[in-house]
Amino acid sequence: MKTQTHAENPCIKVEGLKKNFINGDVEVEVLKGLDFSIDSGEFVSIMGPSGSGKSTLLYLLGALDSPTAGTVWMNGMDLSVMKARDKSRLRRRELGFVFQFYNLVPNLTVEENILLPIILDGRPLKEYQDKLEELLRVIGLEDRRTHTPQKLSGGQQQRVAIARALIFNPKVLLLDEPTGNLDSKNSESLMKLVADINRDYRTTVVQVTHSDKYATWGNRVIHLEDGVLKA
Amino acid sequence: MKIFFKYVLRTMLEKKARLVLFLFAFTLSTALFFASIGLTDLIVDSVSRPIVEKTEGNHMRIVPEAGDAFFDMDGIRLAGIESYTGTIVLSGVVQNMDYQTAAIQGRKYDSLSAFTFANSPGADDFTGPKAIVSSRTAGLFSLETGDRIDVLFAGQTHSLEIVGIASNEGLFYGDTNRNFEVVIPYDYVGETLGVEGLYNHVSAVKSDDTLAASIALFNEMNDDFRAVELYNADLVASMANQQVNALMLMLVFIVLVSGIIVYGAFKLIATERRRVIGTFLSQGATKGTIRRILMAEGFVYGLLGAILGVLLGVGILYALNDYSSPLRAYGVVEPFRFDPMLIVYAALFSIGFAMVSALVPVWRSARREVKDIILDIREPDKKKGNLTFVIGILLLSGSALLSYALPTVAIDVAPLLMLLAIVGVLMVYPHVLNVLVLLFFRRILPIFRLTALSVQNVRTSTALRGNISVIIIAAISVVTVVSLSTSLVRTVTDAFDSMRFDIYVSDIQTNDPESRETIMSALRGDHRIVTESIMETTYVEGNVNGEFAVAEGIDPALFDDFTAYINFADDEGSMLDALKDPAARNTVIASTTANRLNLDVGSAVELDINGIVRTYNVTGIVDVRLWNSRDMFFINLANLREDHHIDHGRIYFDTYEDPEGFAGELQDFFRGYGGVVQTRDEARDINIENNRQFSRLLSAFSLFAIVIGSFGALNNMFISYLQRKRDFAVLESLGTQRGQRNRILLAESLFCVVFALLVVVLYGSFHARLVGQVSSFILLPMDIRFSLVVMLPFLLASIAIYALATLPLLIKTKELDVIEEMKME
Repeated sequence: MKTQTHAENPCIKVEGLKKNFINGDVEVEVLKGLDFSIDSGEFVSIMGPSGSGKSTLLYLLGALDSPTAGTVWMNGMDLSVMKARDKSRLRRRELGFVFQFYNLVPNLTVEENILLPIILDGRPLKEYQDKLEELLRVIGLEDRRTHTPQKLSGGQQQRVAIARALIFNPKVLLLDEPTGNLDSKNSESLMKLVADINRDYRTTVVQVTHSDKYATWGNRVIHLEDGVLKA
Repeated sequence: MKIFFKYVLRTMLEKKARLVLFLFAFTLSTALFFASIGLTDLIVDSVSRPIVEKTEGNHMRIVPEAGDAFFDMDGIRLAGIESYTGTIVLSGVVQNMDYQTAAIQGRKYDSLSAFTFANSPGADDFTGPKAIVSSRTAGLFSLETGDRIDVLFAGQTHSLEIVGIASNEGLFYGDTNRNFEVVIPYDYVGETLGVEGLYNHVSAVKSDDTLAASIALFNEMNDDFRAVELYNADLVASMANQQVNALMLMLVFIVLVSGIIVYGAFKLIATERRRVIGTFLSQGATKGTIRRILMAEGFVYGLLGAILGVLLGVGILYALNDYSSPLRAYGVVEPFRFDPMLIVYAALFSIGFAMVSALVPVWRSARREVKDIILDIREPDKKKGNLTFVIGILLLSGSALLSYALPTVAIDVAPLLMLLAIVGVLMVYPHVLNVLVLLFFRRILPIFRLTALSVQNVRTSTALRGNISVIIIAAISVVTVVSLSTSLVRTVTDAFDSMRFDIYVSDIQTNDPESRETIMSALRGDHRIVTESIMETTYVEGNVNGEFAVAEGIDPALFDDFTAYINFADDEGSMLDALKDPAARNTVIASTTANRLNLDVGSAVELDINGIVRTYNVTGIVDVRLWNSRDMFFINLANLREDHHIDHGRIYFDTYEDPEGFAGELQDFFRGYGGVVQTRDEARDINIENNRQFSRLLSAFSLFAIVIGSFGALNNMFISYLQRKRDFAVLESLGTQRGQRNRILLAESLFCVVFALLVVVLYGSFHARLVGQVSSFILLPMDIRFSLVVMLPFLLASIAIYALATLPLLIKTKELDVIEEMKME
């Protein structure tokens, strides 16, 4: 397993990335200046103990949080100088984000949840009908399309979350502990789905996980400990 | 957008109780807004309709410049008028109809075409001792054509044959069993009075589009006659405004209570949906999109509130219309109408109110980093408490300074001052609470334990503090209404107590000196009456240059002693001294009149009473407080009699007998003159009852504020509970029992109520002063006092209502799933 890459035009490039949090009167340094890059089509797993800063790093890669210092380059774009509106567009079109607790919108159906980025982008839904059908087939929930999330199992909800992340054909798929709330059977099936997506769509995948077993589904692992990369 | 709309509707329907709360708050606020605005037209209609109907399509009254009571119409030029009709109008008493008062109309045959007859076998030959009455009067007194009625007018009793029964329209529209019209042939009345060919009432139809232009043209082209409007619509509207202003005051309370509740509820929405909001943001929604979705929800609530509020408002107006119709007892209800634009105003109010209330929580909902929102990481408290406290203190002290140091200015801005003071209280109390709890928490913890925890929770929970705000406003609305009602009763009672009389005779229908003298001689000769206490007054409407005016004829030698309610004292003794010589034609006017007509001491004023204009000198201006309509010219009674030919009036006197029994005996004597005899207690009670009806209306709206407030309090309790669900789960995992949890919640809600009421009690006296200044602002000046004893039952009832509101929360907390909550942790 490699821990660094030195590609000429990486999909994701992180330079001197720092993130501090205020905890009461104390400022805690969570990420202490990270430098690394990820190539297009890579499947990278970020591992590390609790509190090491894995999820914080993923949120920064996903333009969901702002760094204290340093830069994240996403497909050549500097996230640190991007306006909120442009970050929103980036999240809709270029990135797919999957959360540990699925984060589906409870009052929308499976179909509507999957189409959410398209709806938010204001594009005609008809243009994405084929893509929707394809994703429903891939996640195996064609017959549950009109169900609301509450009527689905955890594994099914996580599949819907992945389909939602993929509806715009993003270049990057970010997953925060995708199997953290699933049993082993569902976890296996989900990891296979992610690996298929990485292979079939050439989507760059970055996942945060605690599990050595699921980390090996990727082709590279980044170890994080106390906010710094470990070789 | 279709999916977003579906999402908004689904989320709205998800929490039924909250939907009901929102609809309740918006519906009641909008309904009250609708009813308050619509009430002006309604009151104007109910007052003016009988007057307008009675004018029979006429717009002006024509009076001779010479001031004669009876005059001929020769020489009236048709300028500004299309036509004119002359009649003789007198008051009389129908002796064989239980001595009822009647308005006698001497009319010519050709003017009868204005009537629609149900039965008129003898109306074609309308001469001699005949009469026409309305079908309502005929029904009330079982009259038929051919029957005879004995009518006393011009000092004689006339036996008149009923020759026609007309429908209850036009002249007869306002007929009641206490006062109705009797139309008698003009020639017969003229002959009886010896004024053939002369008239004392000439009305005309305008020819120009506007009444003012018609009057101006007529007056320009006629030297011997002058036109005045038949009734003053502005005055009726200003009377209505008083009640509308009071309703508006209640609207302010309801909007404040509702606003805080809606603000809290939207905060709850934003809190509950943080994860969903975060999800939307993580999928690329902009902060603007999130705000638009939430505001759309506010819009839909506002729209639904508008629809229901307008419906309820129409219902309230309909009921008020029915209630306020003067002829309701006879099954005649004024046609119900409202300006359709009111619907637009109400919709704008409701939607605007919903969106403004939602704005801050919605704005804050998407303010932070997406990660913080999605992981529900709360914003650390910013130290803004001290600034809020300082602003609150400034608002309170500023309004107090203005109220006490510059009371005249304070009255002009009283509603604003009251609002600022309430906002000040709401900004100050959290700091006081904070200090008190921090001061005593450690001391009370070992003794009260769970209660101490509850008190600490109230200090730290924004939602529970929101509860205190809601209860404070609702309680202040109660204090306002109760203060107004009790002060109104006290003011009326004080006024009557300050008057020196045992018996009061009103509605005497004679207008000839002989009848009046007969009455006065009878009273002076009665050994049961304190002769030197007999005092007459006359209250009569007129105008000053077309502006409505009321003259109160008094005996200046007696009136000052008669009532201590009005203080006529000036540097030289009494202002009334200047009225003692009728030849001087002096007048003392009410300060309200002085302000309205822009008059001052030294002004000369042309007072037109009974169509006769005389110039009076204003020699004094007096604060008449709530005396009669608070708007009047006091003149010598002799001037009214000699200059304006007014002889009817009211009589006050003391008796050596028991007033109640003696009043009953006197009623038989006065019945022949249409007079109504009342003891002082009866007159006072009738006056109080009339004022109480309005107080009841205000009380109903105050109750609305409490009910909305209790719904809101429950909502806030839920917000607070949801926010602390994990804390409760932790407490449960440490061994806290469900009963103890319930005690904490109950103690929290009771502490909120008790603390809020303590604030209101402390603020009450100052608030009462502000209510007094608001009452002056709405031209109903009263000395408002805050009485804790009077307030106590209302405040205790509030405690009970809010305690009851806690029960649903206690039932709901059964569902606390410790494992689920801890897992989330």
